[in-house]
Amino acid sequence: MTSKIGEIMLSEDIVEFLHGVRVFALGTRSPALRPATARVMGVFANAAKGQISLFLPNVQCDPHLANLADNGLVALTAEDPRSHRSYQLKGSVVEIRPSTDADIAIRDVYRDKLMSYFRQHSFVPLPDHFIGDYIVDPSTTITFRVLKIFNQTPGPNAGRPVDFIPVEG
Amino acid sequence: MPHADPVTLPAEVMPALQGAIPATIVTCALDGEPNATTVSQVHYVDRNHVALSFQFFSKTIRNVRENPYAAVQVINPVDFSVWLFDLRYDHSETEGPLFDDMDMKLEAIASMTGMSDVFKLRGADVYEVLAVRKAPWRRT
Amino acid sequence: MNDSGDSATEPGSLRALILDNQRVIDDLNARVQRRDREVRIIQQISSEINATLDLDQMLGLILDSLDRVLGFKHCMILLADEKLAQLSVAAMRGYKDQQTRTIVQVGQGPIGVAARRRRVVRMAAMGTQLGYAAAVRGEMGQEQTQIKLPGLADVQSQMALPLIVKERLVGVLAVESAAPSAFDELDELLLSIVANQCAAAIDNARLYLGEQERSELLDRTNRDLQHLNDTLESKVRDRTAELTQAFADLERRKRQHEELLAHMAPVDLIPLMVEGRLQASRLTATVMFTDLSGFTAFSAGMEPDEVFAHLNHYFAWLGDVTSRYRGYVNKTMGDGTMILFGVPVASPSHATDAVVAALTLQANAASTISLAMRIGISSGVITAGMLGPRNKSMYDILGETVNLAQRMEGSAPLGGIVVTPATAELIQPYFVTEALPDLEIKGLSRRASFRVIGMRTLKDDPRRFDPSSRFAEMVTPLQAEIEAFKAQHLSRVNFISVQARDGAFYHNETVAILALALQRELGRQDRLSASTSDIDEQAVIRLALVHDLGKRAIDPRRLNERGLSEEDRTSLRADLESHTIETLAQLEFDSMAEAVRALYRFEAQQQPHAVFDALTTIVGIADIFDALVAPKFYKGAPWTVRGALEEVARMPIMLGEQRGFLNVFAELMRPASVSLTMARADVPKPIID
Repeated sequence: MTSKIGEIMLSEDIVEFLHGVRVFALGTRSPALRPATARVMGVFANAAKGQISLFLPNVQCDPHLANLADNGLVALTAEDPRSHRSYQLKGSVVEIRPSTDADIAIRDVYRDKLMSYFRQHSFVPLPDHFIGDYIVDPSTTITFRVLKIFNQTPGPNAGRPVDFIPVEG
Repeated sequence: MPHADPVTLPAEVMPALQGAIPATIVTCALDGEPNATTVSQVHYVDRNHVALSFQFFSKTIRNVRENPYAAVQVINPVDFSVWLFDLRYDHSETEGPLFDDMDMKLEAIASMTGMSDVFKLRGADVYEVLAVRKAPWRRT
Repeated sequence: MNDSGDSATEPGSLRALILDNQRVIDDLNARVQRRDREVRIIQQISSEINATLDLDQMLGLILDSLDRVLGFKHCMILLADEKLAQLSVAAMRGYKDQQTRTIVQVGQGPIGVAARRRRVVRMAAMGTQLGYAAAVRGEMGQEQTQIKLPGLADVQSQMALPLIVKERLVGVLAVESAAPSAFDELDELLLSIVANQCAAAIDNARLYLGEQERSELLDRTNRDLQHLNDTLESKVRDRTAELTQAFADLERRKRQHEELLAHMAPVDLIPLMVEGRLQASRLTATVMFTDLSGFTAFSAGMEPDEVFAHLNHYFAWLGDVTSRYRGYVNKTMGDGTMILFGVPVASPSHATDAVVAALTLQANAASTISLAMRIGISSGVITAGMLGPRNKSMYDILGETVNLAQRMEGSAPLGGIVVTPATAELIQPYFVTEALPDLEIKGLSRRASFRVIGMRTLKDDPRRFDPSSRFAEMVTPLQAEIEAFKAQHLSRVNFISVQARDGAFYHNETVAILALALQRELGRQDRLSASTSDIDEQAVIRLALVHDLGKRAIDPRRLNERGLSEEDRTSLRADLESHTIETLAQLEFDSMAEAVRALYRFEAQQQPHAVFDALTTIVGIADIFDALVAPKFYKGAPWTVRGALEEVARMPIMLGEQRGFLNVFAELMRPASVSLTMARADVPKPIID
């Protein structure tokens, strides 16, 4: 394999972090530089390719698909609701497609873990469904190549780039 | 952007502005790079304004001073409904009743965690709410 | 709530929005009420606090009140030690466990910050906030610590209020809860008042005072209390004003939604639509079609916006006129319109309303749009309901009546109004019509049709007087005189619109004609010269013309109700009288109020020996007589002239002084073939044999 400029491999730590119980939010922007955000229902990180696939319910795709068609720029935050440790991953879209059965299976595991976390840690009694009330299907899978990672854990270091490992040949 | 009818924050969104679940804000630099970040609380100011506190300077603070538009999502801790706001940065306050109120709350928390020395409010960025909507939800 | 903005024109989502707004309005109302109630409670607590000067007792009383009356379950009062810069708990309520910590350093936690800043600190979601701060500390490589403070171990919400007297901090009042967002602005406002009272009480108790000083102090405290109560009210007013603003915004949004709905259906139906209870129904109603002749040619050279401007001007005028007669413009088709009467709310006047509206339109079409109109009208059974695809449905009607109205319009001459036999029959008592040659209507059997000529005035209405009477000879010139009087003195009054409300067409003019005839006859015969010679004819005419103008302010449904009870009739007459007097004031005829009151007293009078002046008697007789002989929606067949004269003669008021007037009137109105027996004033006998 040859190394490609700007491409990074995701570290084990990052992958492990992304596959845990995290709160994800997507950010994109329009041609007029208007930002937009949406709740992301889980991600799958491909360490070797340095790519992340995120699952976005179609009801929340507007205006993100149009924004991505325009410029392909993705910003994704991932936060650990327990420790408030968080990262921002920025990158460029590789592929947008309807979620496959495999994607949906990953997403549903994520959703169950998130629900069970909040059930254990909520300060208030939660309704039966809560997170289950999000409309998640049909769903779109957005895959992007990670170009930059930032530490965003609150504090003086927030915004510092995280060291990354170039893909080796 | 002129708009005739100012938005009024619905009562249903108020629990999401207490800081029980962190919020996310997306901004965009003038060079076109979007930036998403977590913030501890979106503060209610009045019926069509909210404020974000900052203790540390960040990309968000820089971005909105170049390009004032921001998109925010907050989560209502009671039912976990997601609320999406379109905001426009208006001004920053470093004194006055809004700043004092946010500062006192921060001081109360900081003093309980041994952080009084570093956890200081630098400013309160006030945003106008251009639009607010609830993310699609299965049941009413 | 799962509808997002862009389907806002769909009735379903509008319904949800309106219901939602209503719920918020109710909630706001409830909050305003809660405010009022709690203000009173606070005032009560304040006076209890002032009644004692023993510190422990007082602090206990304050905390008990917070728990029992205001529902703050966990509360404490801490007293300040300025030298040590710390606060110590003096009283607590609502804590099961023995508190191991009773000291708070100034600047520590919400209580300490409230003491340092001397400001109220109100916290929510403290668990998350503390976790957040701990994350920052961890990120900075420092060990996590959390300082323990007195109070709930799992505190989520806390409010701390400084107790300040004469710019000196005496302590802190704190309430807390394990709920993430337990306290709102109102709680803060209420507790601020309690805190002020509490501070003053602590200060008082700490001082050793002689009786005199103590009494002075109590006086001052009471003055402070009074001042607080005053400020409290103004604070509550401010908050209420905010709520009122929010309330007004909601009302405005609700109105906007309702206005949107009003484009799809008549306003009366909106509540039913919102509640989803609107069902198709069958009604007897009148349908009117209008068309503008030559609009296409007229607009040929115009720019599109000019064409729209012309048409919209025309439709606005047409809408104004028809709504005055309870019509609803259901749709427009090019330059044509379809207008409904008696829909959705059934009305006995649907046919006459349509015809009056049509006559008004035709009379003013030339000056409004300088094109001629064709109007077709049909009455009968229709089916009404919401019709069309789900997101585009409109209130609409179906039935042969609709098709017929359209055909009538098609056959109408320029400037003309053509109606079906069913409509012609309904309007026949009030309007003059003329049969047209039979029409061939496609798909329907041959139908007769009638052209509306105009309103039936008294001289064309032989049922209201006998053609062989002496009055018949006078009616034409008298009518001309009254019409001239109206044009000269009462041109501001649209009599037809008032009369259309209960079908009393040409009643005011008829009363004036009859009264003027009687007045002149009395003068001519000189029989009652003493009382009649100096009555002003103009006063007679004016009173007759305006005597019931108050109908304009009364719901037509109430005016047309059949079989009113005596009580309802009395109240209707009282309302009619007061609205008439109001109307006269608007016409700057205030001076007539007394004459109108006398007339209403006359008509309700049950005492045979009551005496009324000549003006009242003359107009009263004319009014009662025409009310009997004129056609009305709520009457079956009207009285005959002879029957009406007998009926008037039987009224108690006619047995006394007024009998002479009636005799002259009866002579004037009687058929030539019938001779009259002049009864003596005190003998209740029929006057016609």
